[in-house]
Amino acid sequence: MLKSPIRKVVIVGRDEALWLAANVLWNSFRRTGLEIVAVELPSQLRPADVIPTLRNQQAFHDLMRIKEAPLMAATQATFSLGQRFIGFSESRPPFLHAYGDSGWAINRVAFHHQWVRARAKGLDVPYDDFSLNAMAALQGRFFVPAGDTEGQECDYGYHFDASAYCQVLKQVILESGIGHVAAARLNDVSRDPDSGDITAITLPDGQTVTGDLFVDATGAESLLLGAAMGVPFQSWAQWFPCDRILTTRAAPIKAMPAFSQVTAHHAGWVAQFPLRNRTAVQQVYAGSQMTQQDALDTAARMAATEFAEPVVRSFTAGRRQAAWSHNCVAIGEAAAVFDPIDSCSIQVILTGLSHLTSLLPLDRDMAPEAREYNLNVLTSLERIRDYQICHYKLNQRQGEPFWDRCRAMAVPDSLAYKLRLFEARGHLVEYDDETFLDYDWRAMLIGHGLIPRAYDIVADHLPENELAERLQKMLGFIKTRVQAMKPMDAHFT
Amino acid sequence: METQTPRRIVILGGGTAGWMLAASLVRTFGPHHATVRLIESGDIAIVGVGESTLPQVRDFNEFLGVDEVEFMRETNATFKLAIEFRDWARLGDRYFHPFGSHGHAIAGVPFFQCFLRAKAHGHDFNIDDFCYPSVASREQKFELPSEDLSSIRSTYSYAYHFDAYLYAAYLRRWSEKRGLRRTEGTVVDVTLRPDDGFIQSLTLASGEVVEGDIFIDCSGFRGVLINQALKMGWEDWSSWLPCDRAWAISSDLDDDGTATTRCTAREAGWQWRIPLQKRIGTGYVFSSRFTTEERAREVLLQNLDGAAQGDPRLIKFQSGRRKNSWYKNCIALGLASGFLEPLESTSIYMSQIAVNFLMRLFPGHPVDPALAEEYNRLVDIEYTRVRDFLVLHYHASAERKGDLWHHVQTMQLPDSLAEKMDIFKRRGHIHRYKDGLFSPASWIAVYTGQRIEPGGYDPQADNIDLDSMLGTMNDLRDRIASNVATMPGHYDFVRRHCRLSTKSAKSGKSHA
Repeated sequence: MLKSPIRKVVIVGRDEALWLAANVLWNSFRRTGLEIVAVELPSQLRPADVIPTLRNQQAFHDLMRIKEAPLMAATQATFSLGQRFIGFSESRPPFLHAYGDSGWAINRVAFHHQWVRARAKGLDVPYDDFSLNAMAALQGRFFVPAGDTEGQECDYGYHFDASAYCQVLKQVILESGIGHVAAARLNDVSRDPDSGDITAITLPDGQTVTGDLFVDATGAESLLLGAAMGVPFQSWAQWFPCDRILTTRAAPIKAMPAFSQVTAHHAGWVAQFPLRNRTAVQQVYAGSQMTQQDALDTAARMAATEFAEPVVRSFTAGRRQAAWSHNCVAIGEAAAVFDPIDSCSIQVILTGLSHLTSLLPLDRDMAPEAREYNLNVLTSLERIRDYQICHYKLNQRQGEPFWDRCRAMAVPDSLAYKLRLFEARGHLVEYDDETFLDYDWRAMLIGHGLIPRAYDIVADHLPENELAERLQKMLGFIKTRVQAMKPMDAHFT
Repeated sequence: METQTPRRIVILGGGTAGWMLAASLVRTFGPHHATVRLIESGDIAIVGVGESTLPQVRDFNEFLGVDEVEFMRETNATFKLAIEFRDWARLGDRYFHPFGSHGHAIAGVPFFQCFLRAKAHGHDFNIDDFCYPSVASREQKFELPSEDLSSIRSTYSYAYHFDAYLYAAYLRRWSEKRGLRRTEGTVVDVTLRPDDGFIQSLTLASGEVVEGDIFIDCSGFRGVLINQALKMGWEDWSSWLPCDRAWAISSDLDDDGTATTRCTAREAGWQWRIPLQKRIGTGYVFSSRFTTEERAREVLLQNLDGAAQGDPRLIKFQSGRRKNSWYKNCIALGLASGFLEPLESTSIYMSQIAVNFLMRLFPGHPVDPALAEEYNRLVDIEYTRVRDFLVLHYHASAERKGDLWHHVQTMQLPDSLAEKMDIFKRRGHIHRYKDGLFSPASWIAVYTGQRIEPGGYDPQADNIDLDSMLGTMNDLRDRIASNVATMPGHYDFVRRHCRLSTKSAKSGKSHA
């Protein structure tokens, strides 16, 4: 029987993790009598920061009753059809990781098998040329996928100005009935000596906030789960060589592209994210290989930055041993810090919130929920980690110590297995709780040059001349569709 | 690069598994890609128990280009919308495991959580009432699902009951017409390559030596290749699934025209009832640890729905699976690779999914061991998930009495199942997974049918206005009931759609 139900949830944190958690939990439980308090710590965002997303996350914005057009207008936002990778190999051309599929299955055989087969016979068309997303992006167009893709899966994400996005989320939720306290820091976290549960937090003015469940949205500091509960951090530094992120800005791009761009350099990479009023720039590098000044100079050379308020922060990729311990659930970076390379941070927050919503504990004794949550969420974090490792492991920049070491590193077994099967047969191993979909994996692996040695032999059933015809038809369809599309800014309202 | 030159594929054994694979290979490869030979001895009976299938079998038939009406006429087939379980948790109990889900999310909250909330407020609904195929099953109705996806009459899938012997024969004709070479013969010797232990050739009783690149072992429990020649071990699951025998028989049709497979719990196992067009296939699956063969035969004969056709036939089996189904250049399918009792009609599915995996990972020259590893991983997931689901039926049999039932009620569960049950018991939460059979709807049907009552429900269900939630539920229940009322009866539909051809009616008679 339930002894002590959950009546009050306290969310402690800042920025997008705090405001997304507050919005999602409030809208999911506002009619249940659940009391929700948001304890807001000072923002760590800088004016140059950008929040890119992997998906359009419409279900969440619907739940929060946030409409796309006004949200985008308020946040200098642009659409993103994918992310382009440049310079990860000396010999291979850039590629676009489209947020959508490439090609179409033929007689139940996945497209990439036919592409590998055609390539072996001399086809010289890149894999991403068969993607509506990629072709639209590269030709300066944008589209909202509807029923006109002949069944090709297509999605899109956004680039938001980080502070403005948080401002919108904050404004919406403060108009609701949620409790809100702003504090400069946490003075103390009290725990029950018997159960180890958090009973209250104390703020600098002496105010204490009690609760039944505490959500840690404090970012990488992990003030509740890490600092107060002592849940250890497991570093992934052996797979992620970058530990500095410098953010700055450059002039806006005239014909705004609907994609972001990541360009490798000798000790990391520089990313450019188009916004309406500027280009957000991230320079991500290894502090041991590059001084801050080098980093700035390199970024300026690669992205024509304006040197406006460059800020450097350190990070270590890794995750907490558990994401939920006792009565404390960590959301976003409080649970896991990712290399910024794949724009997955919002997705990580939303995955956590989605599991929390369907596992909001029934009782103060919440070990069963914590176990189920950790089972799902920790797996999903590791699958993202595996995906990101590939950008480093699969590089083909010879003779640079940073990149040479990455190629030589041993990767986690789960990933080694996946790479082996893809290389052997183009067979994509998909585990439970994958955040990156099958098409994300294929675009990235093939883009980095992991071309399968063999393909599904069922592909051979289709005669070669017929295959050539089908491929031409696909390219023709994409060309026609893309020509009819408008530039991205024509979609802004 | 692997070479993609023609492969010589040898299939040993012509049961359902053997012929499903043979047909797939013939359908997929032209003669310049592969030559396929099937060797079967004419004198081994197919262990076909009047087969009940899952909707996936329709994908398989569609892949081959099989015409549904023709296929049903030739295999004595009827339709299937659900499995009906009787007397499992308690004598007199009855529930359906349907090919469709219960309700739909209300305001973003899973239907089952709404159901639990309604129950907590004293509304004791029957979950079956919210599932279209369950209600149709109860009313003995059938029609093909509507193609209008906005219609409630599209919210289900279906499968078949058919005569497995006739199905294998159908696939055999289909394959032979397209160039498959079948040889009647018995294997007397298997020659392994001395350097790597791969199978090089089979020697038949006729003296013929059959060489090949890939050997498929469909020789049944004996596992002539995988077990006898390659010594691949077997993982025994009989501690969780103690049934190891079945008596099978056919009986005359009665007037129950339901489109369901019925599984009724008995004193030391359970009885199946598979309605075909001209007869009922039935049998009693039991554990020889907890009853005798004589007693089991008696129980079956006392529980026939119509007059017996002939004498019961005894089938012996053991639950478990081959440690590796693919080893070196030999891939075991069907009973040679594993057995799970037919409580959830999974036997054809297991062959089919293995065929799918094999087609996707079909080896070239030389055989890449990575492909075998992945095949075995995928097959393992399938077997383990079905096993856990079967064990749930036995274990959650709260009020059944008898030695078998006492054993399964008190046995130690596989951890993978115990964890799923814990979180369900607490709050009706269904653990989701990517690969393997059984969606949340299946788990909900069996958990509730077996009387596992969650202690609570998702607080998010309380976020919906109670009256409007109940209104939505009542409306759904009424719409299902009124639509089902206008459907034709199942056997009427079968007679109009795909009446058995007279030729098949005769040849089908002798097989249970």
